[in-house]
This record gives sequence, structure tokens and C-alpha cells, in this order.
Amino acid sequence: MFTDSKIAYDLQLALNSIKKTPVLSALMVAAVGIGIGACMTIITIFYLMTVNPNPDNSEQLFTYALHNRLTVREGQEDDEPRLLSTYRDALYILESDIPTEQSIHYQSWAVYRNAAGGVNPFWDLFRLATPGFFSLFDVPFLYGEAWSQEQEDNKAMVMVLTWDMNNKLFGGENSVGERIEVGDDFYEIVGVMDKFKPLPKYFEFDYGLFQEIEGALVPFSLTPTIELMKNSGSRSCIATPEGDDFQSYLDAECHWLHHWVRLPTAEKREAFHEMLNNYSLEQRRFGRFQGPFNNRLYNLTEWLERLEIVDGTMTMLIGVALMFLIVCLLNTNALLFAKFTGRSAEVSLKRALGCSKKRLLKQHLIEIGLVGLVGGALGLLLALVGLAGIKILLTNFDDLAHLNTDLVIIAIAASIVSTLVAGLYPAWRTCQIAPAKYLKSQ
Amino acid sequence: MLTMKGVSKIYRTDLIETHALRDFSVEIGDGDFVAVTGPSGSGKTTLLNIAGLLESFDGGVYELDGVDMHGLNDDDSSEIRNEQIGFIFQSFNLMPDLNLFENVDVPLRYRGFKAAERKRRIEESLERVGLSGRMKHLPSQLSGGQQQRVAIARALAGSPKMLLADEPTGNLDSLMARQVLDLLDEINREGTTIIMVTHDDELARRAKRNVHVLDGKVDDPTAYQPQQRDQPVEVIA
Amino acid sequence: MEIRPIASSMLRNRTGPILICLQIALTLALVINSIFIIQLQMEKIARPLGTDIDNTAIFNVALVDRPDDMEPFIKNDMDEIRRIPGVVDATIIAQFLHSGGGSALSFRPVSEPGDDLTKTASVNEVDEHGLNALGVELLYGRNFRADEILYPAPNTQVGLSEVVLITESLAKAFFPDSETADIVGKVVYPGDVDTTPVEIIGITADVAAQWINYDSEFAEEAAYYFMLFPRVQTYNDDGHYYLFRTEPGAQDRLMAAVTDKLYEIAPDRLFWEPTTQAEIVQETQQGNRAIATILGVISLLMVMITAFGIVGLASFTVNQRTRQIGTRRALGAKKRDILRYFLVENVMLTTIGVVLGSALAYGIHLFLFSIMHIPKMSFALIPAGVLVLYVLGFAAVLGPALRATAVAPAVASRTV
Repeated sequence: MFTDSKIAYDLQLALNSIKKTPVLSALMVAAVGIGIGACMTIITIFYLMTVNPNPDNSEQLFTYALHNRLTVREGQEDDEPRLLSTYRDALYILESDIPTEQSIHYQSWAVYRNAAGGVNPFWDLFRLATPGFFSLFDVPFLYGEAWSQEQEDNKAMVMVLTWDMNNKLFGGENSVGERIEVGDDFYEIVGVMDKFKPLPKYFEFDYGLFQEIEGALVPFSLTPTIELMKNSGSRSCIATPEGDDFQSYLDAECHWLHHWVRLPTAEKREAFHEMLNNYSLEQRRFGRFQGPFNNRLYNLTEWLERLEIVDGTMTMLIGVALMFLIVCLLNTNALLFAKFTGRSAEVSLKRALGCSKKRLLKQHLIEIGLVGLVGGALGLLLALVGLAGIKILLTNFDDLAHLNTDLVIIAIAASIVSTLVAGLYPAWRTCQIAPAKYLKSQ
Repeated sequence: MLTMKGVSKIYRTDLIETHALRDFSVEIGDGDFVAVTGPSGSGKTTLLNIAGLLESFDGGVYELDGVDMHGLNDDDSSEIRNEQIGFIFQSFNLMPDLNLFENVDVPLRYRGFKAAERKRRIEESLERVGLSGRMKHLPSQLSGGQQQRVAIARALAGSPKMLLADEPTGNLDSLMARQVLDLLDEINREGTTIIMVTHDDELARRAKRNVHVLDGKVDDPTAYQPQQRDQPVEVIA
Repeated sequence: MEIRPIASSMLRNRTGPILICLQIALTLALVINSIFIIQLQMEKIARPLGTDIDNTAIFNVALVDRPDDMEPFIKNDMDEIRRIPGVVDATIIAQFLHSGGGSALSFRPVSEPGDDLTKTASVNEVDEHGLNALGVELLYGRNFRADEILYPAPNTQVGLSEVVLITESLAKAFFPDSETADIVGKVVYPGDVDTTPVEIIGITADVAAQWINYDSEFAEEAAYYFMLFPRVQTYNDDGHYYLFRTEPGAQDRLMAAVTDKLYEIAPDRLFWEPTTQAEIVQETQQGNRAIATILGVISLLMVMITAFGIVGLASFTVNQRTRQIGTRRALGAKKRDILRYFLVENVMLTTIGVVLGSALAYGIHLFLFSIMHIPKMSFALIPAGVLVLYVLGFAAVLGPALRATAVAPAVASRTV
């Protein structure tokens, strides 16, 4: 059946056939290539936007959204809860032992100074987080490690640098033990992160969803001490703060904190949800959580959907790309049809000499598959051009506009399959020609 | 009907000049049935093409029905072909994607006849060739002989003054060939001039008159000569 | 016109024509919808933003060693900048304008909560020079006074001021039954809870909210809901934003001059990258431009490919039918009859294609309508698209059709 020599022979035949009609074959390859190129440009962006950044943990990582309302208006019962947490609510939930790990975090802009000198003061992002941040999101470390829970509880003035910041301040060397000044405070470096760029940055959707984490991280417990207001990302208040000091800022009904937990089992998930609802019930006596409950719990997969990264516009672009591919394939279909019609005499002769329909079909399909293969390669090249164009049009898309191995495989496979689909009918039709029909002079 | 005096046709390429016809003269009268014979390459097809205004000629005079055919523009020669000449080809040349009715219709549409007139003529000529029962069929559904008869119907539908037939039975077996020839006979008896190119001696015999062409010239315009192929001619006075 | 026989012939040899019809249909559907969306994007980009985009620039500055009382320091910075010749005016401002992001607050025009009159508006904070520095016209009422500007100490979260400036659209939205001039002096209440009201002291010409280019019903309605508060915030080390307006043509020169002056006043300044308002707007509109460009490129490619397809099929047909063409000529067809045959065939194909394509275009439009927030498409686009495809088809088929007319009648008499 499938002996090596036969395949090699068929391949040779296919190549010869392609070479015999160079213009037609070139047009076919071009049509497939352009179609696949346009498709892959858009599919690449879609793929990178939606690929799960942490597939192993998507069932265990959760964030919540408490539906706190101080008043309820008519027609408002179905409001969506805010996606960020208030300081009070987050601290309360932090106390719960239902989740195995928790991360509360937010970031702001702050001024950095290298205590040892050598670098001018500069602005960068500054993040406060509980140590659960590092374990929940599988943050890799280059040097040292995160601070301990004890250090967190003791409000130790410790810091973890991001890879980027470590390069900037220390040239990439091991900086554990060094001191950094941020704002008016000094911190001791206990750890340096390795490169960490989950796409999207699901745990911080309100600032740079597709950018790397920058700056440095310090214990979240320092929040009341440092008094750094959140000045990057979203903060929405449903009531004005009582006073004008920082404590009032913390106590206010303002949603600005990210809060993620690990709930490894179904029981824990239920217990957690119940805990949220009980808390809401209890808070009603303070005038909060009016109206019907709508507290939500999102695991990572659900969260990615909730973020609506793929909006109507993206869907439209994907549809457009696919329609374009179809037109290109119709074109290829027409070209194949023309080519095979022109070969009627040859096919007829072959059939007269004893070639079976199946064998002929196989030869045709191999030829079509080859066209798909070369077309796919051309398509990848064109996709590179297209992606370069995207990067020019959208300056934030550098990470979303590159090919990886998965995408290359998808492209070639899609190309071969779609070309085969396009060519199936003409190829089959040609094999149905009666032997010697076209051998008579007309 | 048709007069040619000293007609010549030269095909020129960069290197060679080929004289397909040289100093060709012939006279064909109304109602004639002429077989043009000769070896291949002798120029008989060229003669037919020129007679049918399919090709232009370089020298000499060609008059059809007393009208000078020299220097006609494309539109005029197309019109004359359409109205006065009917063609029958060796390979039938029917349109494969049209049924018999539509095939016969082709030249009539170029004529500008109204639909009713066209319908009448088509039905009449298909009836004439004995194929009116197959009007909706496609050529691929007919035998070779039947296809040629459709071609004849197509040639006749416009009531042409003369029919030009190029090897009309070349692709047919002897039975079908005979049927076609019978048909041509009948048509000729009804008054249509027929000029038929053939290399088949038997066919040539059925015509009223033979013109033998050799090397682009008329070999013997009047006598019937059973010739053997490719042998030099001897004029028999 | 030989429509009947051409149709019969096409039907008996369906594959090529079907392929071309489908390509034409898909191309029409896609091009029409693309043009519609491109138009939308261009409209969005062209919407007036309300401030002097071309002549304003924003500096984000901070001091490394901050004095405890920032008020005199900031006031001094502002005075110095305003004194530079060529600077029309300058203001402190809370955040970038027209950057797609920013703060928003909800207010209602009545004191009892629970009514559906609450409006959410984009908010920003300026000093008494704000209106002039932004280039926004005051239509009714008055501007902030210097003594009304709040300068809270760093790290304090002060409540709202007592006064506010709002845009005309917002005023009309709050009080639809009042004359606009009469809205000056009315109050609005913040948030959902009964709290201290804020007085509307002035109504300005419309300024765009940060969501003006968003794709939602809310963004459509609230496109020009904008409020200005008289406050100067200094969040810790975030620094502050200085916005200044320059005379036309002087922006580049003055950006350097302002930078120099600020360094002169305090050498240990930190500068975020100075940006012009025009650059900010450009970046915010990147998405719109990108969509328009991508759709434009794909539409163009599609049209090209379909055109090539038509040329290809027509050439192929001419080649396949050379004998037939010769025969027709032999039977008396003039050259223009042959030309007309191919043109009519092409028109027929295109017609079927555009009929299909129009239906498909409408279907796609309905689908897009359900997933994106777009207005209904005007039907004028469809005939325009149809015309383009007829012209395209004609141009594409012309070459092969002319070649067909060149087929000699003598071809008919050649033997295979």
C-alpha cells in the first residue's frame, strides 16, 4: 500500500505537474498565500489575546466581585458588581482561612532612588502585595525569594525587584541585601524576579493588560504606613470619603484593590461563596449590600471571559479575515478547475493506460497538498509583514503581534487543509473522465 | 455566382514566403455542385476560406454574385458570410453548451431576425435534416452523423446562396457519410450552390463537377480526373 | 441581446460562473460593510473634542524633595510659565485629557436618591486659568475665582468643592426642561447617597469625555458629559500635570522654553516625557485608525483578487472557446458581437453576484449590529458598492474580451 518508493514517485509526479503550468501554479500559491497571510495576521492577535496564561491553575485561581450597593434604584437590580474590592472588604476576607493562598495588590507610580547612588531619581510603578501574590501567580525568582508571612505581618520594610528594575538599578547582578529608597522610605531587597509576562495580565486588568510587570513590590501591610494612594489604574467610589486623611481614603466605599485566592476544591469554593454572602448579610446593618445579592466568583477561565478581551470589533475582524480566506480559496478552486480541465487529455490517456480513479485522485490530492504547503509558507511570510504593520498601527501590540511555534503549525495545517477542501471537487471531477474520451480528435 | 480570376494568397513569416494559392481562376455558376480535390497542402482549404471570406486574398479578383469582394472591411465580410454563405466544417463546430435549437439559432441572431422568424426557420431546417424531434438535445447526445446534419441545418437556416463544406464527411463512418451526401444532393437539387472540399474520390464522384487543385493552382478546371494521390498531373485534352 | 443562450450556456457549464458569482457576492458584502465601519471610525476620529488640541501640551513633573506646602510652589511655577512670551495661558490639571481614560463621577439633579436622573460625567480638575488654557469657551455664568481653588496638602483626600463648571450637553441632560441660561446656579448631588450638593457656577461649550470613542450606548449618550472642578491634587510622588497653551506654530519652541524654566526654578525636577495634546489624541485614536486601515487593506486585496479571478476566468474561457469564437465569426458574427457576448456574460454574472452579495451584506450588517454598537447603515452604500463591482467586472473582462474579438474566423476551419 504505502511503500516508500510509491510515495516518492507520486511526489515526483506532483512536482512535475506543478512545474508544467508555472504561471497557474504560481497564481494558486499566491492566492492561498495571501489568504492565509491575512488570516494569520488577525488570528495571531486573537490567539495571543485569548490563550490561557495559566492553564494549570485556571480551575483553582479565583477572584470575586462583591455587589455592594448603598441604595437601590428601580431598574437597577441587575447591575454588575464592581470588579475591584474595597480596602475594608479585602482585609476582612484576608482573615478567612478558607482559601489556601491569597493575594491583595495594587500599584501606583512612585519616585525611586538608589540608596547607593549612581542612578538619578526616576519614576516607576510601585506595587504593594501580600506574599500570596508570588505563589498564586507562579512568579519565578532569579535571586532570593519573596518575603515571608511573618515579615508581612510585621510590616517589614522589604522589597522584591522585578527583572526590569534590577537591570536598571544593578545591571542585572544579585542585589539581595541592597537598599532602595522609594518616596521617603528605605527598603531592603530580599528577592529579584525573573522575567514574568503572563499574557494577559489577568490579575491586573486595569493597567497594561498586555504589558510586563514593572517596578518593585513591597508588603501590602505597609499600605497604611506608606500612605500611597493608587494613582495608576481604576478606582471607583460609590460614596465620597468621610474625611480628607489617608485613613478615610482606606475606609471609603471605593473599589481599587485586586484580590485573588486559591480554592483548590469544590467544597472550598462553595464555602468561600457562602462566606461572601454571609458577610454581605452582616454588613447590611451598616446600610451596605442593599438589594438582592449578586456576589460573583470567577475562576481564571471565567474571568478571561468577563474581561471581554475579545470584543465585537475583534470578532468582526476575525470574520473579515475568514471571508477573505474564502474568497482566496474560491480563486484557487477556479484555478485548479482551469488547470485540471486543461489536463483532460492527459487524464484520459492515463485512465486508458490503466490508472485507477483512486490512484489518480491521490496524485491530484498530493499535488494540491503541495500547493497548500508552499502557499502556507508564503502565507507565514506575508503574516510576518502583516504583523509588522500591526505593530506600526498599534504601538502597544508588540507582544501580541509575533508568531510562535503553535501558530506556525496552525498556519501550515490550515493552509493545507483549506487548499485540499478547495481542490477536492475539481480533482474528483477530473478523475471521473472516461478513459480515452479525450483522445479522439474532436 | 462565384468568379475568381488570378487569385493569389501568400503567407509570410520572417523567413519564408508560402504561396498557398497562385494565379487561381475558377468560375462556379448558380446551382453548381463542385467538389474541390487535391492532395493535402495543395491549398484547397485556403481556397474555401477565401471563397467564404474567412480569409483575405492578396492578388487577383474575386466576385460573388457580381460584387467585388476585394478590400471588404470586417463588418461587411461578416455580414455577407452571415446572409449569403453557409459553412459546414469537418469537425462540425457545434457549440457544446447549446442545444440543437440554440445552435441553429446562432447565425440567425446575428442576422437580426425577430424571435418568431427565427423559430420558424430553425424548426424548418431541423425538420429538413430530420432532427426536429431532438431540438432540446445537446450535441454530445448525438452521433457524429447527426451532429453534422445539425451543422447543415445551421448552415441552411439563413437561406444562403451557397454552402461551403470542408471535408464534411471526414469524421464520419461510411454509412453516415452517405446519408450526409444524400442530404447535400437534395439541397443542391433544390437550388443551393454547393462547393465541397474533399480528398475522398468517391465523394468527389457524386458532385456534378470537380476542380482539382495542386500547388495552389487549378489543375484542370473542367474534366473529371480520377487521380492517384501525389502524382504529377497530366492534362488530358 | 442574447441573454437566453448565454444563460443556457452558463448553466450547462456551471463551475466557473458559480465561483465568480460567489467571489463577487462575498467581495460586495465585505466591501460594503468595511466601508461602513471605516466611515464610522473616521467619524469618530473627526468628532470635535472641544479643547485646543493643536496648541496645548502637558508636562508631568514632580519634585524629588518636596516641600511640605506645595501651594505656593505650584503657584509660582504657573506664574513663571504664564510669563513666558508665546504662552497663551497655563493651568494645573489633574490628568491627561482625551487619553481614553480618566476619572468619572455620577451626579443627580435632585436631592432624593433613587431617581433615574443620575448622569455619569468625565471629570477633571483645573485652576482659575483652566478654561483659557484649554481653549474652552464659557457660554453662561462665570469661571472659577482664584480663591475658590482648593490646594489640599499631599496625601489628603479632600471632598468635592462647592462649585463646578459643566458642559452644555450635561446641563441639558440634568435639566432638560430649563433654559440653559437658567441652569446656572442650580445644584447637583454626588453619588448615590444624600450628600452635600455642588453648585453649577458656569456652563461651557462641549468638551469630549474620555469615552467618546468607546463602542457603547452609554458612550454615545454621554459623549460630551464633562465637569471641571477647581482643585489641585498632589498625590504623593505622582507629581502634577501642568498644561499650557501656546500661540500657533510656537509649540515646539515653547516646550523647550518651559522645560528650561522649570529646571531653572528647581533643578531637582523629575520629568515624565513631555507630551503634546495632539500626540495624546493620536495615540488614543490608534485603535480607530488601525481598524480603518486593516479593513481598508483587506477590502482592497479582496477587490484585487476578485478582479484577477474575473480576468483569469475570462481568459480561460476565451482560450477554451477559441474554436467556438472562430465558428461564430465564420457564421457571421461581427467583432462587436463577440465583444458584446463576453460583456453581457460578465454583466449577468456580476448581477447575480451583487444580488447575492447585497443580501449577504445586509445579513452581515445585522450580525455586526448585534455584536458591536453601531448605527444602522444607510442603504446608499449598497448601490455604490454595486456600481464599483460592475465597473470592476467590466474593466477586468475587457482585456480577455478584446482578445476574443481578435480570433480569426479562419480558426473554425482548422482541424484539431
